[in-house]
Amino acid sequence: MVNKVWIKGFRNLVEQVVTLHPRVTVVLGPNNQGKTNFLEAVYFLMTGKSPAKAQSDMMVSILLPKAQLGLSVVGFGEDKKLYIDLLRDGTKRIQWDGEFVKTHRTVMGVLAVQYWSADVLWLFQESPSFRRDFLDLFCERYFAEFSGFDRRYQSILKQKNSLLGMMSVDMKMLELLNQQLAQVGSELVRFRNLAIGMMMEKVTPYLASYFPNQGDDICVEYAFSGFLNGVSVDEYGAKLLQLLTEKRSKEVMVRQSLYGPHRDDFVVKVGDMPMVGYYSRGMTRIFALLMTFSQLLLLGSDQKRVSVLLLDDAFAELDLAKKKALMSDFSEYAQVVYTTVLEEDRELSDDLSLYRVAAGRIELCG
Amino acid sequence: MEEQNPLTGVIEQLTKLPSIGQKSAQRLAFFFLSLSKAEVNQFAKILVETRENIKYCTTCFNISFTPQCMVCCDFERNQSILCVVAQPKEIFAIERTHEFKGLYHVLGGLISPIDGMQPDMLRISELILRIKSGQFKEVILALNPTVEGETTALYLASCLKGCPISITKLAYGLPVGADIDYADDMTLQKALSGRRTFE
Ligand SMILES: [Zn+2]
Repeated sequence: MVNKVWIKGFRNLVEQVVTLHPRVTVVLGPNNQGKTNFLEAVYFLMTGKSPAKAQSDMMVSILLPKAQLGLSVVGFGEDKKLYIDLLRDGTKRIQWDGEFVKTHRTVMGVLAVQYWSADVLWLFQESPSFRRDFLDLFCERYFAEFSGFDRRYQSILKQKNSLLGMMSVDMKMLELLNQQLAQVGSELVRFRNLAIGMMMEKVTPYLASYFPNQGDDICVEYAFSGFLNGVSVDEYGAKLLQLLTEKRSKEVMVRQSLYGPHRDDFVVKVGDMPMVGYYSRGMTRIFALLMTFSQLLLLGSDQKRVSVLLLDDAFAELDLAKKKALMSDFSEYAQVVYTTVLEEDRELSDDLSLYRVAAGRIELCG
Repeated sequence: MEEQNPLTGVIEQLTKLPSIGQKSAQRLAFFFLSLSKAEVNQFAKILVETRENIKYCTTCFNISFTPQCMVCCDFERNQSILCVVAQPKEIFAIERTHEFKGLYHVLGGLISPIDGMQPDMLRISELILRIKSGQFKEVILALNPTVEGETTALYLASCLKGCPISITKLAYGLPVGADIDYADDMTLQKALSGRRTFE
């Protein structure tokens, strides 16, 4: 587990060491005191990235030339320590277990982390590209070959869009690019569907308790662009090529690639109904949280990695009983760090560390 | 009056070379000064002469001083097997492996709509003419395993449909996206000897 986190020169946070609880750490305080910054620091330590894709000059304190972060992991026979120096220009120096490393690859082989804010509901509200990114980010981390196929697909797509932008489109060329799109695209679709299947397998055991009587009816459906729904993953490549051939003149007319994995989506359904609209915001939020949790299970505890779940007010609008149930389920497999403005969240678990945050200082209570 | 650095002109020219920055250019400029006048003359003369006299082989479009390149003039080579490449530099890479003893055809690029490279800008009709002569039994498409290389290979294969020849392509152990002229000789040798039929 992650034991201690050391922070210096990171955003508004004062230099300090915070000890994480083995199960649940609650950080309580009003807004703009440093709660989110603390989670960002932990996420940055574990991945080398900001969860909000913030620029590095924003993350380094205005008072110091660089930010310095560290954490200790215990429970590997021996302790391991991770240190990162972050300069304002984005330069990073990573030291893991006494050695300098170039990237986070080795670190991420041992540590797994997920970050979610109250925006977890976006999984239902945002555009399809948000959901695709959610799925693809997981696929990239879980399947070694995924990013290669993804890059290839993007380059074919770029060539195709250039071709479609020309005054007169060479139809033979279009067909050759479509062939390659269908071939590589079907690999992407295969991985994405595999990912959805694996995620749902992890989510299913929890459904009965959170969605009484209807747990069995909940499913996630991959939504193919271009009315290819119902097509099996195995026949997808051929069907997509057929569709692209049929819709050639339409794509030439609008000068854009209209169909393929880059336009796909997924839908959460209860029976035949989309979950949004069927359930309250609170219930859909629970499902979104379970989906992100399933990814952490697959990337984390399943692979014997130390798992940390960073939740930035992500239980907003839920009643205390539901929050306690989620916290108990999550903390069984991951160390949860939860930030909140609500006093009642002190009772999220019988066994937790409570910190209060004010003006960049995070202090242990009681 | 502002004093001018006497090496400015040379440095300016040298920085035009790939991966030569100001510092390296300055180092090279001083190196030229350390040479004798005769050596510098020889250097410049060869550079100019090569540029003046280099042509494309009228058969395969390899670089050559004569209308027919060294490969095309060599009748010891297997005249029934043709290797299609994008650029002359790839002939040099393949020749280094000593794995291939046939003839070449240089397309002059790869199809890439993004870069405005269209099929009619490549030497494809010349290739088809050569193949239609019936001289060749096998055509190897030795194109980079990039989207552009793959698209060009597919395009050529569709143009050559119906010709009584076997079309093969390199068996890439090369990471997808790698360049032929960056591949080490061993990898390229394996890619050539393990070539497989193009489907
Ligand atoms: Zn020649």
